[in-house]
Amino acid sequence: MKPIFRFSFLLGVLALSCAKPGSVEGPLLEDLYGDFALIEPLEVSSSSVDLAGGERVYFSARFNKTANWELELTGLSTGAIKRFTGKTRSLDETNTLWNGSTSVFPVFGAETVVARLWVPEDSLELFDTVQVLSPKPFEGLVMADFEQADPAGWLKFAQSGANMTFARSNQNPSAQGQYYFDMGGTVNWDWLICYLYMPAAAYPDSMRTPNNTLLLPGNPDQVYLNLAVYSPDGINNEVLLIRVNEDDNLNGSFNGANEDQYAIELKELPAGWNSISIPYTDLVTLVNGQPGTPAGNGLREPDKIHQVEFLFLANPSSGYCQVYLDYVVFTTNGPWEP
Amino acid sequence: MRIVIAFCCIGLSTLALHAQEGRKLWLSSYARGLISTDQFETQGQNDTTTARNTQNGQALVDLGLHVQPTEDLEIHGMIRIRNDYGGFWGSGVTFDLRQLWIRGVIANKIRFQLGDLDYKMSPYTFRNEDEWMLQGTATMSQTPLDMVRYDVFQSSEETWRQQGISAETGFQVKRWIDAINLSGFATRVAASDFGAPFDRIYGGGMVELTAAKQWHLRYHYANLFDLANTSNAPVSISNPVQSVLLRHERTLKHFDAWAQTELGQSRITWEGDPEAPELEDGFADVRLGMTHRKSRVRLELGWRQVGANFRSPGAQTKRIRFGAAPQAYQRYGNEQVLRGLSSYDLLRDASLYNTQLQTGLMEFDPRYGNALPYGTATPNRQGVDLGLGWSDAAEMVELGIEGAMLTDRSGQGTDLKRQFGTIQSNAVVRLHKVFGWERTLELGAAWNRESTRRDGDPVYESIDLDNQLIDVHAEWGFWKQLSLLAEWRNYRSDGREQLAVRNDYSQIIDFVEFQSQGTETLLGGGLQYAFNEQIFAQLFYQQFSWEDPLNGNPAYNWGNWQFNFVMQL
Repeated sequence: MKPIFRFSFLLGVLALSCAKPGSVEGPLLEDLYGDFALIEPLEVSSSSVDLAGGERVYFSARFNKTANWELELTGLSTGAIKRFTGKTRSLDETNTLWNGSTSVFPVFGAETVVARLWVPEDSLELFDTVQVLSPKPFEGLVMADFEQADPAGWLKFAQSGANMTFARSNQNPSAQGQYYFDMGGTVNWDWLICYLYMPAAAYPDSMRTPNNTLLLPGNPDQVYLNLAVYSPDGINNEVLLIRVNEDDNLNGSFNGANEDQYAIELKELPAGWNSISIPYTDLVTLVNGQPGTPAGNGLREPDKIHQVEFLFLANPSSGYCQVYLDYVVFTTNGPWEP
Repeated sequence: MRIVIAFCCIGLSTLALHAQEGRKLWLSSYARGLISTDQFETQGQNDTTTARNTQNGQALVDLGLHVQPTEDLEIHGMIRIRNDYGGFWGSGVTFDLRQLWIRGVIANKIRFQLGDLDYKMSPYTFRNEDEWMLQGTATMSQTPLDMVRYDVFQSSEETWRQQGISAETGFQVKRWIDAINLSGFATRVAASDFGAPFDRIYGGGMVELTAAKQWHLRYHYANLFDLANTSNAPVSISNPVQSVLLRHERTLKHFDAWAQTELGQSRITWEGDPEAPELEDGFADVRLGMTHRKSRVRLELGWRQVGANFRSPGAQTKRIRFGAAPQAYQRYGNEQVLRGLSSYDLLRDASLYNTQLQTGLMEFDPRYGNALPYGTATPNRQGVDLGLGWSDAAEMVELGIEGAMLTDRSGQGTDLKRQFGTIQSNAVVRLHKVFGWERTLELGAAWNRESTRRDGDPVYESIDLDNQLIDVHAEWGFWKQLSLLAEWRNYRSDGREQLAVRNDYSQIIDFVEFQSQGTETLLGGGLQYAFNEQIFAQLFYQQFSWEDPLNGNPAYNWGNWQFNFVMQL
C-alpha cells in the first residue's frame, strides 16, 4: 500500500493551488442588506480655496457599507449649485474633487459655499462649509458676457412688436456675472423678433486676425461654441438661430453667395438656464431651416469666422416668446465647463 | 416526411444489396405503450377551474435499421413512429428521424463515427452527470424516468448526445510506453441562420499514454467556440478547457488500488465585447481508491478544489432546465397560479430536460441540489469526499454510501464561506436469496441528504438549507413473472439560502433570498409482468402530494393511474 499512498501524496502536492486563490464573489451582502452607519463625518479638505489660483478642494466621509449619496454645494450669494453623486463606501479625492464648476447656473463667485451630504438610505444629512476666495476662471474666446455695455461694432435689430425686450439686463439671476441679454416680444407678422450680430471686427486685436476673423484654430474638431440660454417657464415656441459666417477668401467681408455659412437652431429648451456646447463640426448649412449645401468651399474653418449671429425667431401665430442669452464663448479641445 | 421516404429508399436499396452480395442488415427497436390517467386536486379550496381528470397516452416505436455494407462500415438510421391516443386513421401519428450515424474503421487503424454520437471525457471536461435529486429511484419511479431519459438521450453512461464526427486510434509502442491512444471529436452545438447566431462548435479530444500497464497519463481538451465569419453578430464566445490526468493502478496482496489526480484550467472570452471579462480559473482533483478482494469492500477517497471562475460547458451543463415550466397542470387552483416544477414532473416530463450544451452557468433550483448543482465540476468548491460500497458474492445485500464535505472556494457576497455536506446512501436486500425462497422479495431504501450552512449576520448572511430524499421500495415476485411493486418517496427542502443572480457573463451581480419549506411525497403500488429482461408491462397507481407554506401556492394532490409496456430489443 505504501507506494500508492506515497503516490497520492505526490499527486496532492501537484494539485495544490491549481485553482485561483479565493476572494469574495459578487457584491457584498452587507452592502445590499446591512444597516447603514457613518464611520467618519463629512469634512472638507480645506476651509478656503483660491479657485482662480488653481486650488481645489475635496470632501471626505466614510460609511460602513456601500451607499448611494449626494453631495450638493450651494453658493450662499449666487445660489449656484454643484452636485456630486455616487454609490461608494467613502467620499474622497477620487469622487468629490471640486474645481469650482457648477451643475446649476449661475456659476460660483467669491462666496461662502455650503456642502450638504445626503444619504437617502439612512436619511442622513451632514453639512460643512468652504470659503471660495476667488471664482474659477474660464478659458476661451469670450464673445459676450454682457457685463459691460455692448461693443460698438455689434449689429442689433428688433421688430417693433408688442412687449419687446432687447437689452442687457440684471433683473433676474444671470448664468455668469450679473448681466445677461434679454430678447423677447410678440411679433405677429414675421418669424424674426430680433437679432444680434457679433462681427469679429468689433473685438480687440488680441481676439482677431488682421483679416477680421476670430483668432481660433483652423481644425473644426477642436472648436466648440458655448453659451448659456435661459428659457422662462411656459415658453416653448422659441427658436434661437445661431449662424456663423466664414470669410472663405479672407477679403475682410462675407458674401453669402460664395462663402460658407454654418448654423444651428435651438428649440424647445428646458425651463431655466441651460448650458449649451456645440461642437463646431455639428454646425450645418441651413436654407429656410433645412440642411443645404454650403455656398463656399464647403470646409468648416473656425479660423475664418467673420461674424457670429444670433437671430431670435418664433412662429408669428404662437404669441409671446422670450429667451436670455449669456456667456457666449468659443473653447478649444473641449466644451465649456461652467 | 421527405426524410422518411429517403430513409425507406436507402433501406430498400440496402436490402437489395444484401440479397445480391450477402451484405449484412439487421434491425433494432424500442417500443413502448403508455396509458395514463391523472387526477388533480387543489387542497384548501373548492377548485372549480382546474381539470380534475385528464387522460393521455401514446404508442411509440423506434425502428432502427443497421446496414453493414462492408466488414468495416456500419450505417444506422432510426425512425420514431409515435401515435398519441385520440387520433383517428393516423391523424395523431408523427414520424421523426431519431438518430442517424455511420461508423467504421479506416485501414484497420482509425475508428470513426459520423452523425449522432455519444461522447464523454473526464468529469471536469465533458461529462453529463446525473442530477443529485434524481438518484435513488426504485422500479416504479425509475420506469417513467427511464422513458424520459431515453427520449432525451441521457443515461447512466453520462455521455452527451452530439452531432458531428469522432475518431480514435491507438498505437503499440515497444520502449518505455506501452500504448498511445488518441481520440477527437467535433460537433455542432448551434447552427447559424446567417443572421445573429454563430455556428457554435464543440470540439476536442484526448491523448492517453499507458506505461507499464499501471501508469496512465491522459490529456483532455475541449473547446466551445463560435465559428468565425458565420454570423453578423459582433460578439463571439470561446471557452477552452484542458486538463491532465495521471493515474496509477496497483494489484496488491489483498487489494486492488489506484490513485489519480486531474489538474486543469478553463478560459472563457467574449471576443468583440469590450465590457466582457475574461474568466480564467482552474481545478485540482486527487483521488485514491481500493477494493478489498476478499470482503468486496470498495473505498474511494477524494479531495477537490474548483475555482470560482472555472467554466466548462461540457461538464457543467445541467440535465434539467430549471427555468422551464412543466407541461402538465401549468396553472392550477381557482386563481390559476403558475405551478412550479416538482420532483414528480422530473420523473415524467421530457420537456424539462436539456439536450444541448450551454455556455455559462445554467439556472438551478436550490431545492433540488444546492451543494453541487453543476456536478463534480461545480465552480467555487473545495473539500473532501468519501465513498464506501459493499455487496456479497451472491448479491444478497448491496450497501453504498457516499459523502462530501465542501466549502466555498470564494465567499459569495461575504468573507464567510458556505459549508456543504452531502450524503447519499442506498441499501438493497434480496430476502429470497438470504432465506432461499423461491419467490423473489427485494427490499430497498435510499437516503440522500445535503446541507448548506453559513454563519454571520442572521438577517442577510446566515444560511441554513437542508434537502433530504428518502426512498423505500419493495418488489415481490408473487406468481411466475408477475411482481408486486410498492414505493414511498419523500422529498423535503427546508431552510433559506442567498441565491446568486448572474449576468450574461455568469458573474454574480446580486443575491435574492430563497426560502423553502417544501415537502413532496410520492406513494405508489402496482403490478409488473416481465416477459423477459427486455420486455415488461406495468400497471400502477401513484399518489403525489406537494406543499410549501412559504411558496404561496396552494398545496395539491396528484394521482396517476398508469399502464405501460416497454420493449427494448
